[in-house]
Amino acid sequence: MHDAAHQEASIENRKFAMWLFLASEVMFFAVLIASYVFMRFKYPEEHAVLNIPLTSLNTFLLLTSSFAVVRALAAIQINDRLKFLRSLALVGLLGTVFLAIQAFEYTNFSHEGLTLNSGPFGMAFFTLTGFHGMHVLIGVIWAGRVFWQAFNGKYTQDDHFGVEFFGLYWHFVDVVWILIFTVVYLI
Amino acid sequence: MNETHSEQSRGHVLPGEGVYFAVFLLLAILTVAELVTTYLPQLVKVPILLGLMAGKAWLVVQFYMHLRYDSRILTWSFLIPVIVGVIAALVLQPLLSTVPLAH
Repeated sequence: MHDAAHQEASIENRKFAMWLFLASEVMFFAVLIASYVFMRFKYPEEHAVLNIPLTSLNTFLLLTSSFAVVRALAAIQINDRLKFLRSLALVGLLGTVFLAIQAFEYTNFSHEGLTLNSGPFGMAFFTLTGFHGMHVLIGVIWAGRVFWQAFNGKYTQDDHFGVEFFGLYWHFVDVVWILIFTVVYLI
Repeated sequence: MNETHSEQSRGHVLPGEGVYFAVFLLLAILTVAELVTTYLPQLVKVPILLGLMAGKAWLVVQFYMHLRYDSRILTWSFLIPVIVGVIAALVLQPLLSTVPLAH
């Protein structure tokens, strides 16, 4: 009984620590977005090169991956291991495709003269989207680790906090992309 | 809606796959609405897009990150930095205009 209470307190503390980490990430991305917004209106002509159809696809990929994370969580809670593993694999796959599309987009931009060194707009754009992409990459690696642990039977119906913990990070990355998609590409 | 409540032993109830899927559909619809909104004049589309963006972010945080089902202290530990972040982003705009930029 005492162990159960201790374990629950430990989980709540780790969750609180994760939310504090995400709060620090909010401040980090707020400043990057603010810098981008300034450059966007100072150099409006450079914004025209951005590709809305391609990033719309990326938006749907990340939204689907977020659904896959909660689907994995719901699956392990009812001990459906096959759905759990398939959903986790889907998260990694969608994250990887997202990064591949972003790399393709960056290559196209460089052909059109928009690079990290092409000017203040390029610097602000690539710093913001690049840092987000780096967060996706970390998430994909993390998803792979969670999948490997799940494959080896680590998570159970009663003990799956590691999945929820990963989910908090992945959904946060999705939330940041929701902001970037609107502020950077649509406005 | 087939909602399988679980995690009751940990003091809070999480939604089932039905709620998650409904949120996913709503997020997809809001994204399509955003894309349609881009065809509107700039003065009209900006506030609508910001509203849709806030709605989508709120849905993910509330339902997928389970803030709706967790302790209030987690909500505030996230909400306060969001408010400070928005204020910082607004304050930075006039400050950035004082920075000399290379062309």
